[in-house]
Amino acid sequence: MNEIEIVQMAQQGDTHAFRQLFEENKRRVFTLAFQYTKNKEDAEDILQETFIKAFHSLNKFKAQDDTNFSSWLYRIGINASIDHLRKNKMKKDNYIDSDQLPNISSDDGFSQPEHAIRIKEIRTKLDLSLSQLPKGQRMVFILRHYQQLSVKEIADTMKCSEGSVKKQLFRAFQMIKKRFKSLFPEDNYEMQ
Amino acid sequence: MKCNKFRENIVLDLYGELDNKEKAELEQHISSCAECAKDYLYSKSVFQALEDLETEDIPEPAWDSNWGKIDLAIQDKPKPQPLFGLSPKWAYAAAGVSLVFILGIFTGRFWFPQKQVGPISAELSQEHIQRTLAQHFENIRPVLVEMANYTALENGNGTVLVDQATIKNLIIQNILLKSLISGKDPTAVQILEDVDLVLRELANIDEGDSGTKSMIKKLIDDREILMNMNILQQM
Repeated sequence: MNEIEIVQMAQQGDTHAFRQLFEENKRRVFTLAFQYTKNKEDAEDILQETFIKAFHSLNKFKAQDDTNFSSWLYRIGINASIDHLRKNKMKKDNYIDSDQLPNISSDDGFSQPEHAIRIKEIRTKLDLSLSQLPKGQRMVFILRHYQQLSVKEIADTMKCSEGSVKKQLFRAFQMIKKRFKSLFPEDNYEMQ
Repeated sequence: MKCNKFRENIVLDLYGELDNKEKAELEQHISSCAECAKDYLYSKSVFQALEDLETEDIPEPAWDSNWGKIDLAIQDKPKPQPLFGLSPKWAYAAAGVSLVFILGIFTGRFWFPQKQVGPISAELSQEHIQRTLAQHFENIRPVLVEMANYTALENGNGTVLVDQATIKNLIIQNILLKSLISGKDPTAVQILEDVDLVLRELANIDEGDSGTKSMIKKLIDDREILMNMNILQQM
């Protein structure tokens, strides 16, 4: 049975068919939500919101050449992620405070290779940068960098122009670069 | 192109979003602009560092528990919320019935107008009147032609065969049309009155009444009914 047939069964109210759609798409939606929120509980909330919303909107879905169910669901997941963060923006635990950053250089009692320490430092800096980006820029960066969607695919998914996506990607990357200056001193990049 | 645009293209190049021409322009600019070249190398280092992070572990949620919550939420509404509160099949059926109903109303208004006299004529276009009149003349013409060619035989019988039911229908049609165009087209009304005389005579004629048939033939000729019909149709 192909995806369209399963969707059609789900559209008739068949929850077993909808469960099948959940099984086939759950990981992609959860991964996106986790990368966006950096929080497992929030990502689980978004996963549930996405599928509940999708179920109640199933009859609005029309299979077309350029839109399959996964893409349609993914779009709902993106919107659910942005909405979730908007609703919870006052929750302090959604943001990474600079004061909470681990002191990378301190000796935590474990022997870690230098490379691993640096990776950890970069990740922390990145998470901090992403948490401070506007929601749209943050989503564009995640979709392009982690989900590896092309600019065109992002534009289609987020219903905006390719030019807008390029601008947001550029601004997001500029912000990250600023945060990384302490890790990669710019003076080291003079042309020879 | 200014450096700002090239700074944007540096990022897009790292993500493989530049076409060959843009890429060539960027490379040419970098070779002649120290600041952009520095930014390019720095951006590349940051990009590479981010690439190294891609193996970030994604936690494994309790899938069954998540599905359980979803299932509970969708069980409140067993079926997807359809448009108009109906399943698509019934929605289409309802739409079909509504369409037929609406079409019925419009068709009924057209074919069975409530106002039969006077004002109805104001609602009809001249084009519609002409079309209806032409159709009526086409229906009536064979009868008139046959009567115009009538030749009385010695035994009193003629060549005309009259179907009384057809004649009665033509009379009704003629009356309705006359009332429809009353006051709108005097020439057409006059023709219809002449036709009316002919049809009424035909309706009352006996099979062997050659005198009446001859009189009808004379009436058609004298009033030039066929010719007037042709003229009106060609106007």
